[in-house]
Amino acid sequence: MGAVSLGMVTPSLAMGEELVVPYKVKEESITTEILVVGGGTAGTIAAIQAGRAGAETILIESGSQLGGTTTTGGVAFPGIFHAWGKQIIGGIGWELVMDCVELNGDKLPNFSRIPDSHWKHQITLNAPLYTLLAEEKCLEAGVDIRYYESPTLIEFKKGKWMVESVGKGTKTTIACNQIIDCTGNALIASMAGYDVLREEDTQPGSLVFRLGGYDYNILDLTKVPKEYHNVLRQNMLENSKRASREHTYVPYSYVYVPGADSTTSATHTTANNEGRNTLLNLVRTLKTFPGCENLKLVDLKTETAVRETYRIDGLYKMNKDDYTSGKVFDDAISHSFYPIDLHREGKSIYQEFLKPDVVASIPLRSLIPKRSQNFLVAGRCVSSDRLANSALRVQASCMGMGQAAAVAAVLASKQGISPAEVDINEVKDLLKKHGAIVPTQA
Amino acid sequence: MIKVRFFCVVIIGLIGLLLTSFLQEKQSIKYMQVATIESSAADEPSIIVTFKDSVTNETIFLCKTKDNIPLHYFKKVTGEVCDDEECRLLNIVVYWNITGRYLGFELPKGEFLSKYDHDPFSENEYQQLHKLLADESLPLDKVSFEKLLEQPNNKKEDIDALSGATSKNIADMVVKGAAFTTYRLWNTVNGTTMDFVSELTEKQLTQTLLNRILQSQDITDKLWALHRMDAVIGLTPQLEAALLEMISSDDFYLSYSAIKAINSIHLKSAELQNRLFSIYQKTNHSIKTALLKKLMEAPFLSSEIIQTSRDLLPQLNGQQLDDLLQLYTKHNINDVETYTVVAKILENENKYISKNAYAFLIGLQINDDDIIELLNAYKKEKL
Repeated sequence: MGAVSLGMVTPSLAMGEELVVPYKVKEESITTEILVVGGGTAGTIAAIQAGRAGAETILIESGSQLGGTTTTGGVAFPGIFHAWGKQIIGGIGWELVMDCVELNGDKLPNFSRIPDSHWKHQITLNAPLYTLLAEEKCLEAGVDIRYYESPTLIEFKKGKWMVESVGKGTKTTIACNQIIDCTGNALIASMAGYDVLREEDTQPGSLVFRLGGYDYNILDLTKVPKEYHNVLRQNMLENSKRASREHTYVPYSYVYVPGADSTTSATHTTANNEGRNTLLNLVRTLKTFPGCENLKLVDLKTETAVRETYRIDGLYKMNKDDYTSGKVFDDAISHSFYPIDLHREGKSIYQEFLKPDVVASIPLRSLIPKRSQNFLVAGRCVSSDRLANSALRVQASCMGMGQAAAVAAVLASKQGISPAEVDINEVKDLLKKHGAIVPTQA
Repeated sequence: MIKVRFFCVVIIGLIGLLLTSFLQEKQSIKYMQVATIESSAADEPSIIVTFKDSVTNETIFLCKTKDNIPLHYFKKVTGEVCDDEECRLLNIVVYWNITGRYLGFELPKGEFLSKYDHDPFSENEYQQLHKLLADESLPLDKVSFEKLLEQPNNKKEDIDALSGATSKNIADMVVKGAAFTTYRLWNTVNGTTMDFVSELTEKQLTQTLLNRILQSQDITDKLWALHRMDAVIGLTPQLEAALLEMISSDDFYLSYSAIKAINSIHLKSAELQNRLFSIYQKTNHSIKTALLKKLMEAPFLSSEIIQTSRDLLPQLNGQQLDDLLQLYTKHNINDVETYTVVAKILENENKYISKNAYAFLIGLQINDDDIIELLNAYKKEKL
């Protein structure tokens, strides 16, 4: 007998078809101790910390994976964890970065040497691997991850937050003791009725991509307009792993997206549309230059990464002088180290570097909105003026804030109080127990 | 009388000028960084050995002590540095430490470096050149000289520091008026010869030499040695002491690199394992994790560590507990004392912690009825 003919097989394969009952949105009510909204740079760490500290934790993420700017946004070189020869941010963020570095067989930059440029201490990561490890750590810590969901309603009732969260075919009411807003945009703080602030002109976002199909070194730059030299050159540079030297570059090509705002689906869609449109035009233009005829777009990150949107009006607003002077607050819960770094009008960057041995610290009060109850934020929406925020927004600092916010939330939840009422020494002790580096007075 | 006095002044001035230029001719221009091997050894009578650079086909000289300790490498660099063929020919000796790190440069007596207008370098310009040559991270090997000159003359605020990939302003990378001299020397010092001499030293490594390099004042040398610890078999007491001191350092990268330098052969020593674990109890969280990962590579786990670590179990956070229990699992630690202590952790109200204890105990397949009962109860109530 020969092979079974197609006609003999298909009728049986098609026999399973049946009419399905129309789908009804699944509605349910659940409870938890800690609700983290936003599974980005800060939120991932906050959720892991809350779970590890023994609290029931739910993490809502509007996208399909964890990591945010580091993964979905493609800025896969977090920093800065070391300053002036010492580690200044550790804990869960560092653990995740190290696991990623070691599993991928990467080398760390030489942190013993004080670099001539701060970015040389940023750590290039395999972003997909980071995504997997972040999710694994959340699940191991018992975190209930809810992808594709976004809160639509939030109310404080009888000492608990009631949050309505809508996802694909789901509508869930979550009752929780404490909320940590890690949306980066202070969206939940705003929905809760707390004041949020925004600059009239915000920094641009970046849509990250990679190009291929040309050789920069044989291009005749005299035939390429000057404004395109940087993009062609920058794309060419690779993360050099020279055996005897530390890596010099991180691969990072991007187009600016003026006013990029990821707060809502509508604003984020606009930011993605604009970024993609700019990139498409760029690719078309570049291909007209001699030597770039075969230029190709070889990678494009999922969404536009955002630098600046809303900040909370917190119990303390960090200012630029606090940051650049390295002021250590009594309630400092994490360090932060980066230059003041303001991308202006999408064309230039204002930078102000910290003086030798200066490292900034972040007070817990900057993570707590004024007049709030049972509520914290972590990440770039930290209460700060614009210049301080331009340094605080970077990934290692956000990780440090995420871990600290979670510790404060867990202690507040266990004690039935608001985070501002928790004994700061308890917060510091628990942070240290979980490997975080807590700033101390000199 | 006035004429005589004027004549005397002129004569004295001329003599002074002659003397100055004579002395200048006799002094060679030399700029050196801290050497890998300390000066007492460097001052010993030395012998010179030559090698042929397999990439450039040029001669490289190695200076060694009579006891065969390599001190530094050097090469003579000569040639044109401008297009009009009117410039002074480059005539300079560049030095590398034995680790490949740039050591310095020296001009033969009477020689000096000059710029495009044939002006000699000033003291500041020599110092700037010395500093630039020592900065191996400059991107001068990434771009041809012609392309380098075509870079837009970025203002400082135009540099995208976040990306880290934007070109530096060319003015920051070269001595003004001596771009090609800087470019050529930087690529000589930081080019393939750097790796060639490093590899030459690697072939000569002994435990003694490795220890000498670990004692260098320069952190790059220490790291060079740590990254090559596999080149020697076994640790001498001196090497072990040096490693342990570095692991205890509060410099994370040095400590981390020293832990990485230890291999499974070294870990055959129970004493070394115990010393590492004594650091574990005092060090910071990041290094604790690295130490436990290293002990996973050991062929066995010392009985002292098993005993000492057992007492720590109830105090650890969940992640540290997980790390330690994974170490036990790797080394098949399943004695009664250990699993009894772990079983008590099942009562911990932190579920993340108690789950780690449960996972470890289930993996042991214990026949102890009391423990089985505890595990069943845990499964029923908490999972």
